[in-house]
Amino acid sequence: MRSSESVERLKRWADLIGAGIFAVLFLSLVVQVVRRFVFGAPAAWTEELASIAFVWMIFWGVAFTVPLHTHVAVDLVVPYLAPHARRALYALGLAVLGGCFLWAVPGTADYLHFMMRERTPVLDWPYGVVYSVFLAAAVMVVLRCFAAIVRPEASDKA
Amino acid sequence: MSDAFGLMLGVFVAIALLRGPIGLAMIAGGIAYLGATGRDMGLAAEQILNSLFGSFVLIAVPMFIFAANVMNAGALSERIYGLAHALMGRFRGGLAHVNVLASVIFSGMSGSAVADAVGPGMVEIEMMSKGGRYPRAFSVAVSAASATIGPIIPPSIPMVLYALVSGASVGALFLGGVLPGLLMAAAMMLVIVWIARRRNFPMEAPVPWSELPKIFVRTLLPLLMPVVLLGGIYSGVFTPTEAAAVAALYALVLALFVYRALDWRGLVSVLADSARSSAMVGIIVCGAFVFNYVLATEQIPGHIAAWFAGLDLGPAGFLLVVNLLFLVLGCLFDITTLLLVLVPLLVPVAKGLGVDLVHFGVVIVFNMMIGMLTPPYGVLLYILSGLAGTPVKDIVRELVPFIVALIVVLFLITFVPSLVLALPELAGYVR
Repeated sequence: MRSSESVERLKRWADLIGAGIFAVLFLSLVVQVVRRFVFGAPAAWTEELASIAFVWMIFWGVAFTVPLHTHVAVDLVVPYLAPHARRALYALGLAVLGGCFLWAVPGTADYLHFMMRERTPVLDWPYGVVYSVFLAAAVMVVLRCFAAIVRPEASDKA
Repeated sequence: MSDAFGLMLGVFVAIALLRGPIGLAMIAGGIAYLGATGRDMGLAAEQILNSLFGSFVLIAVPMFIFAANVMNAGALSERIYGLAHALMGRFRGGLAHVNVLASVIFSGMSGSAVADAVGPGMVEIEMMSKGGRYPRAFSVAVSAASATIGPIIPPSIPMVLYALVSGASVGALFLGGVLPGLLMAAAMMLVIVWIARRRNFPMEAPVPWSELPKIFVRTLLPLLMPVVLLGGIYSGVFTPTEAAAVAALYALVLALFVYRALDWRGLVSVLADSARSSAMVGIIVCGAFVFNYVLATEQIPGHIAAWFAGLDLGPAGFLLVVNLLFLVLGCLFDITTLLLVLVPLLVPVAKGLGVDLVHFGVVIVFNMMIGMLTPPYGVLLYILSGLAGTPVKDIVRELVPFIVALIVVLFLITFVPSLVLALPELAGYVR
């Protein structure tokens, strides 16, 4: 009971942070327009911040706020099968998915490590940090697949 | 075609058919390809992240999603409904006409068919089925069909995605959708006239014309939104991405301060919701980046172009084949996936045959809107069926005449390109 409560709280925080990232994306575009038209002084950082927030919004969502079963999926075969076959085949698909992402984790970590040397043109942030959320998403996809396979009844609600 | 490419397709198809997430399935296929060809496994991340970072136009998509969510949460849909009701309610089958007209108005503010369906679409279903005036399944069918106008009349999320993969101008594509969108509405209204007479649907008590100015003023502020949005893009003042953000800001100011229909807590939940929906679209875009990298490495677009060239079709034949292909695929696949994976393969062929890319884009997006209505994979069907509690098979039965009408319009705009290109030509986008 306790653990499900703390999971709920974590989910709420993840959602709040997702909302915050979206707000940063939106506001940087608003600032971009206001700076150019109201003050006649365009700011170069707004477009870069928006691009960074855009990357974070997508992978933060994939990592922490969008459960696997709510993603866009094709309902061609699985829904027409008997429940146990449905569960087994869904788990098989997730095993392939999780396996592929696990395979890519070390290479992705290497790439991010390499990108620590390169910096974004305006804000001068290391790309390795800007892109790190991708690694979090990849690891979370592996964990979500694993969780959905071992606890199909919870069907990756965790 | 190499074995590794076969492995990629196999991994993608297996995960997708087993109901795994499409976007992640594409990335997984790409990873398998990298592994099988002994390439650096970090390439998937590199392709995705660098492409995302360099596609500023894509940021218009979350902004359009946000604007539509704000409008729906801020009760702007009800005001639009009120205006449409005053104009069209008086005719036989009036509320069905109102449904279509409200969708046309909403289309000028939202670029997503799903937003149109869950916002004004649901308001209209409730109004139509109040007191059993219209069969529920018919009401749902009209809302589903009219929601497809959303991405045809600008703004349009699918057209932004098409612009990304084809290099066509967003502004030209948006203008190109105007006449086809109005044709869609006209075709649907004709269907309604016919059905309303046959089934003797009711008329509403007419709203006196003298009250119309008052109702118009009440709706004026939301109606100005397309003016801000499109005026900004066509005057060259905003990029499409900035225009989308300004439209969202405008909707936000209306909802928060003018109509006070949204409080700060509501705003946070709209933001979180928009972030989640955008992430779901975004990950499919990421999958498409990886897929397209592999397709380019394997020189697949060249093979496809050569294959089409061998068919010796000519522009009209090519468009016919593409339309038939997408009508079938639209029943089976999600439109974002089709737009980002299949369409880039066809763009070079279209270019080679001298098909205008703006015309091609509008035809493709129009075709995909029909795909959103056709089972087994008709997104609008499932969303509305779930929200309205009406079985999919009942909705489909009522939808058939509308789908037929839409297919007629599709072929009309396919073979009479000026229906699409007249406005972009007038604005100087297309020569």
